[in-house]
Amino acid sequence: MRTKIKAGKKDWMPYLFLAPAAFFILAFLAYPLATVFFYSLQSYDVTKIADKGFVGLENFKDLFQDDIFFRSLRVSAKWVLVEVISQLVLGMILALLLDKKFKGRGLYRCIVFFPWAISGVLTSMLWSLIYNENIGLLNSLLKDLGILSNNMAWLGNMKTVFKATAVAEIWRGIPFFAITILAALQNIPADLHEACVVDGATGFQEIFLVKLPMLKDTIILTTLLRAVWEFNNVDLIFTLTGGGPSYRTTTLTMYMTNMSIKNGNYGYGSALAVIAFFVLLLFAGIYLKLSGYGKEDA
Amino acid sequence: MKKSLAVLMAAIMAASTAACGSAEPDTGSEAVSSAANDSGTESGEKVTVTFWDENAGDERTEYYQQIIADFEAENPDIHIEYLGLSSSDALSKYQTAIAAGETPDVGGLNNSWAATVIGQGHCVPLDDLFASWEGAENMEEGYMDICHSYNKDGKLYMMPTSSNFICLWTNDAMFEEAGLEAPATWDEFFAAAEALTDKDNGQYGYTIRGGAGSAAVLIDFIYSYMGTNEVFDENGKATINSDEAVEFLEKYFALYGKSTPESDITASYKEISANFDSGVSAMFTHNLGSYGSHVTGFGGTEGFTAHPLPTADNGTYVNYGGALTGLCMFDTCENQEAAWKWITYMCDHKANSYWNESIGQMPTNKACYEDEWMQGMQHIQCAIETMEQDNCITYTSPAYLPEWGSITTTYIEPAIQSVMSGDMTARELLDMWADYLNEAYANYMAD
Repeated sequence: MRTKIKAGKKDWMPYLFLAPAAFFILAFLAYPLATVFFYSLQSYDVTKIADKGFVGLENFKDLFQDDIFFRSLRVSAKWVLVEVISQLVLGMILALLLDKKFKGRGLYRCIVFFPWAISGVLTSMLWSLIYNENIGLLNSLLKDLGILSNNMAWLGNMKTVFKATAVAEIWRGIPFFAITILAALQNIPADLHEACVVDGATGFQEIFLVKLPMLKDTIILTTLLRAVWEFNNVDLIFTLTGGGPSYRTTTLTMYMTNMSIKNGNYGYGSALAVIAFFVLLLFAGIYLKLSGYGKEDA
Repeated sequence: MKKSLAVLMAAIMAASTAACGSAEPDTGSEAVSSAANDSGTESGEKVTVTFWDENAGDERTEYYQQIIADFEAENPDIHIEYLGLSSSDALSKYQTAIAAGETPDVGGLNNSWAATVIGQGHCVPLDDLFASWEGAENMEEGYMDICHSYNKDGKLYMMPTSSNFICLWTNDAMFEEAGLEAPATWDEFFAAAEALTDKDNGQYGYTIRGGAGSAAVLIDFIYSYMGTNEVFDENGKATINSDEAVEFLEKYFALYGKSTPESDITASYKEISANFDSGVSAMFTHNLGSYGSHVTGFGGTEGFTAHPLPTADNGTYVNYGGALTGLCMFDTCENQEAAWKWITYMCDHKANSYWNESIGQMPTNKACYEDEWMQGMQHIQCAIETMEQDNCITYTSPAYLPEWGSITTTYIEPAIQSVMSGDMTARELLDMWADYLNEAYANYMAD
């Protein structure tokens, strides 16, 4: 039996149900976003409150003459690239291992998930202790193994600070890829594995020719998400190095945070946020287009 | 449907208009007297004064709670609502609160950024209230003068509650073992830092602050070495890039990695204090405020000693005169009489003495000088004796410049790290620093 819906009700019912969600999207996404765009065209520096007002594209003009901006953009690009590739590769290896049947598999899966469950600040504390020059585990271990003769300041040395910070973040990010790829692996029909066995395919052939193509959409989506998160990452860098030494770990979002929150230059900070927004938008668009997300392989 | 929507929209618009209206802050001193007359304290109602502590910590919060309890017992019609802020983000909290019109009634200010907050025009001038306060004569005049300098209009926006003094803290056992006396001059200091270093045993002569706050302390050392308190010359140009300053910086940063831990390049107060307290470094420069940390680290009041910073080659001791913390009143305060009572309570003899004895700093109320506790604390005596010396001159850090905070955190602190790592020369750093100071000073004078 077909239920008849009155024409009037049909008109407003969907909008009513969508209204709460629309309200929250407008209040917590559209409004702040519009505010950032608005302030990017304003001079709003709490130390120069007399100059407050509309300045047009002045903040953007200053930005393109700012060496620290370009430096932080390069650090951001390097950070995202290193983090996403390392986390994807290591997460994939872990997922493939955990997909196999072995004793204690459940326990190992829990252990792999641990770093993801730990807060960013706690991760920073953990790694700052590991890297500590005087009481750190890493120095002690390397000295015991005879690899290091003098203590090393991993987070203070210009040559090691980026790598050391990156390793801490990789450790935290691997579980995200491991868990999502593992979930996708478990959705691959078992008969494909049996077909590979029957056809005499090696383990590597099965991974590269069967499993990876089937994981394509998962990999595209997770790498995109992770790239955006890593681009916006502030907590770990902020607590581990504060963006230093000498801007070595100052990413664009760190610079934006320092400029707005620490220095109170909300106008310039908003201009940086607008640039970050367009960088991410452009990246997401190009990445999805080039990767052919959602398209079936020919 | 359209009618309902219109009603809803009208309601939302009305609500937002009301919200905007309520966010409009009062300004100026006129608000003081009128609000003071309307105070709930006169009508017998219990009023609440919101108070932000700019440097909360377990111990400090406990001391404040004690003072608040005493205050409320004496003033049963006033309730102090305490909120502790971490010192590292107190300024940003104030800036956000000012932008949102959500400032507390009374806020704690630190001299490094007091001018930045006051300069935004949302603190209430306290001159009239101060003039009519019976305890005014007991406040240390020098500190009150410094508070008047926080804004170009010369008005009083902050009541000082504590003063500070920069010490050279030394580890007694390490000095004794090396057969050294505490350095009295900068050359002796550099020699001692080298002599006290034993890298193989993880011991360093000194610990340099290369992370957050590095610029604020470095400038004090520069002027201490130069033996002058003239930060800007008669033409309004910064003197920080003088040859003497370059010479000091070259010597000072030559210690890095050689006589200090390598991790000092990103070390802030917490890390350098831990280096000293754990016996990694034999010398450490910080103000009186780190006393409590040393007592904990050394397991008592023995084993460490406070000394003044070394004397300059010209025989002058340069005392940093601006290390004040105090309380201001924001223009969003509705019960200004009650808020002023709280501020003056903190400045009055009893609370000022208890507070400064507890946190190990210098009181701002002269009546406290006769208190017994002040005679028994070595670091306090060191500060008093040094300031009484004939060769002592007082220098005021350019932290009063509104752009000081952004200049130091965005440009100077990373540049200090560049010099420490050898990517930049001391001359380049100081020339850059002088340029920023010149511009900020010119803006300050022009406004």
